[in-house]
Amino acid sequence: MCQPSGPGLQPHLPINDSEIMSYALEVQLLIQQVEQLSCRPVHVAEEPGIKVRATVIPARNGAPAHLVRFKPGAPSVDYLVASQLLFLVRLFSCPVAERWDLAAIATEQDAGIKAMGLGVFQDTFARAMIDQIVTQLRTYSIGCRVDDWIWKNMPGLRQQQEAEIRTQLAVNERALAPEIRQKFPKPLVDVNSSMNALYATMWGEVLREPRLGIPFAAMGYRAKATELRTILEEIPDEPASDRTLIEGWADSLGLTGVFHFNLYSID
Amino acid sequence: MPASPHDIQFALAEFDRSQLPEAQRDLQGDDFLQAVREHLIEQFAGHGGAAEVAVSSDRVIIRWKETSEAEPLAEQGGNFLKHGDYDQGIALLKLALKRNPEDAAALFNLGMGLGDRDQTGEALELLLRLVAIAPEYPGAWVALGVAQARSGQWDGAIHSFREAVTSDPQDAFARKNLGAALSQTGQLAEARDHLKAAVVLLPSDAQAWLNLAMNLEQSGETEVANTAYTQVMQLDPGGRFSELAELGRNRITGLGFRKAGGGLRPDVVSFCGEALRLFDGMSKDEVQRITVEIAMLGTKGLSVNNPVAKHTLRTLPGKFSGLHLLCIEFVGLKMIDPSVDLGLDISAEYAEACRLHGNP
Repeated sequence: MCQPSGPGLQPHLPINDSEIMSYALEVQLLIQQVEQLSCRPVHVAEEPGIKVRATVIPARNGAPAHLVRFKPGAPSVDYLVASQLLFLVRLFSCPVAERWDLAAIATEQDAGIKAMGLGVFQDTFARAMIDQIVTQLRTYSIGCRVDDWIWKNMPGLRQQQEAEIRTQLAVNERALAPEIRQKFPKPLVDVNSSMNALYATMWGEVLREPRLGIPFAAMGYRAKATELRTILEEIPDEPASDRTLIEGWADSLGLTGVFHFNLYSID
Repeated sequence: MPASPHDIQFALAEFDRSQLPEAQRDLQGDDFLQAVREHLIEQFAGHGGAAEVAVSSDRVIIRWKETSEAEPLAEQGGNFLKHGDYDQGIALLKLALKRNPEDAAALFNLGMGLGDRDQTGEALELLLRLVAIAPEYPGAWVALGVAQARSGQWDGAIHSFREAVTSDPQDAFARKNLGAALSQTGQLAEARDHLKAAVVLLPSDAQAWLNLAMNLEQSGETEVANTAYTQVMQLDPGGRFSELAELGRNRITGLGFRKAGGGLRPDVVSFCGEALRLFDGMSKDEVQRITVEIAMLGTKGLSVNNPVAKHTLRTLPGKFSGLHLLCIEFVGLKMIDPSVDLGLDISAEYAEACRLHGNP
C-alpha cells in the first residue's frame, strides 16, 4: 500500500501500458509488484552504450521512477529485466528503516585501494575499480538470491536465464586468462575470482555441469568459494538479511571498511 | 543448452599444487606439467564431454567439447590413442581403471598404449590381468603376445599367439605375429605356414609380406622370397618396409653372385673397369669423396636389381644405376680400405676388370 512519505506525493510518470505489454507476463507482474511496493513507476528501456547487460537505478531523492536499462538487442530481455526488478522487490520488501544503499567516502575508497593493491594506478582508475568490486559484491551476493528465486519460481524465463548465465560463465572463464589477470593487482583479481568461483560452482550444480567449477578449483579458489557459500547458506534468505549477507561476504573477501550502508530514501 | 566448444586458459604459476596427490606436489619441470595435465583430464572426465588439456611451461589450456552422449572413458582413451595423443589417452585409461579395475577395454587399450611407449613392464602386467579376467576379449592374446615379444619373452609370446590362433584361426594378426615369433626363434617351417595364412588373410599388409619374405629368405627359398620382397615394395613404396625389402633383395642378389661361381657378369666387369679408369689419376681423397657419397646413398637402400632406376652424385657427373654405383663403391673401397666387406661379392668380376685394365 502506497503511503504519502513527505510533503505531498511526487508526481508519477504515466505508466506506458504498451511498453509493459511487450514483456513476459511474469515481468509485467513484477513491474506491478515494484510499483505497488514503492509507489513509483518503473521505466524499462534500452540504453545504447550501456556497458553491462542490464542495470537498475532505484528512484532516490524524489526521482519520479525506477529506471531499468538493458543493452539494445539483448536476447534475454525478460530475464534481464526480471532480475533487476527483483533487486527492487527485495529492497522494498524491507521496512523503510531497513532499506540500505551502499556508498563509499574517500577514506573508505582509500582503504580499498590499499587493500586491493590498486595504489600503483591513477587515482580515478583505482577508485573506479573499487566501485566496481563493491558493485560485484552486492550484485553477486544478492544476485544469488534473485537468480535462485527466478530459477525456482519463473520456469517460463528459465531458458533465457540459462542462456544469460552461460554467457556470464563464459565471460568469467575468459577472465582467467593470464593476459587479463596480469593487468590487475592480485588481491583485486582474487576477490573477483572467488566470487566467480562460487558462481561457477553453484551453477555447475544447478545445470548439472560440475566441470564449470574445475578451473577455479585448479587455481585454488575452491576454499574461498566454499566460505562464501557457507555464509550464503547460513544467513536467512530474507530481504531484511541482505545487508548481513553483504557484510559477511565483505568480511570474507577483505572488503570490510571499503564501503558503508546509507539508509535508502526514495524521497 | 550446451555451450559451444571453447578454451579456458590460465597461468600455470596459478595452479594450486594442493590439488595434486601429495606425492606429486613438489614435482618440477616436465613431471609437474604432466601431473597437472593428468589431474585436469581426470577432473573433467565423465562430465558429458571431452576436455583436451595442454600444459606448457607458462600456461594451462583446456579445450572443452560438448558431446551429446558421454562415451565410456575407456573408449575415449582408446580414441585418443588412435589419433596419436598418447598422453591424453593414457591419462583417461588410467582413470577408467581407477574407477573400475576390471574394465577390460581400459586394460586392453592401456596395455597397448603403454607397450607402444616402451613401458613394457606395466603393459605386460595389465595384459596378463586382461587375459585372466576376460580371455575372450578381442585381441587380448595378440596384444599380450606383442608385449611379451617386445620384452624378449619369446616362449610366452608364442604361447599367447597360439591361444589367439586356437581361439580364432582366421585371426590374421594372430597368424602374422605367431609366424614372426616362430621365425625369430628359428622354427621356420611352422612359422611359414602361419605367415602364408597371414598374407592370404591380409593381402595388402606389407609387414605380413615382409615377414614371409624374410622367412623364405632364411629358409633358402630365395626365388619365392624375392617375389615376396617385390610384393612388399609394391605395397609400401618408399616406406620403411620397402627399405627392408630392398635390403633383402640385395642380399639375395649378393648370394646369387657368390653362388654363380665361375660365371662372370659382364655388366659388373664393365662397371668395375669403368671405375678403375675413372679412379686412375685421382687422388685418394677424391676417390674417398666419391666412395663415401655412394655409401651414404646406400644407407637409404640402393637397388641392384633395377637397372631403370637412376641416381646422380654430387661428386661425379652422370646418371647411374644402383648396381653401377655399387661397383664404383666396391672399386673405391678396394683402393682405400680393401678390408671393408660391401656385402656384395663381386671380387671375381673385379679381378677380371683389373686384369683387363692391366692391373695385376
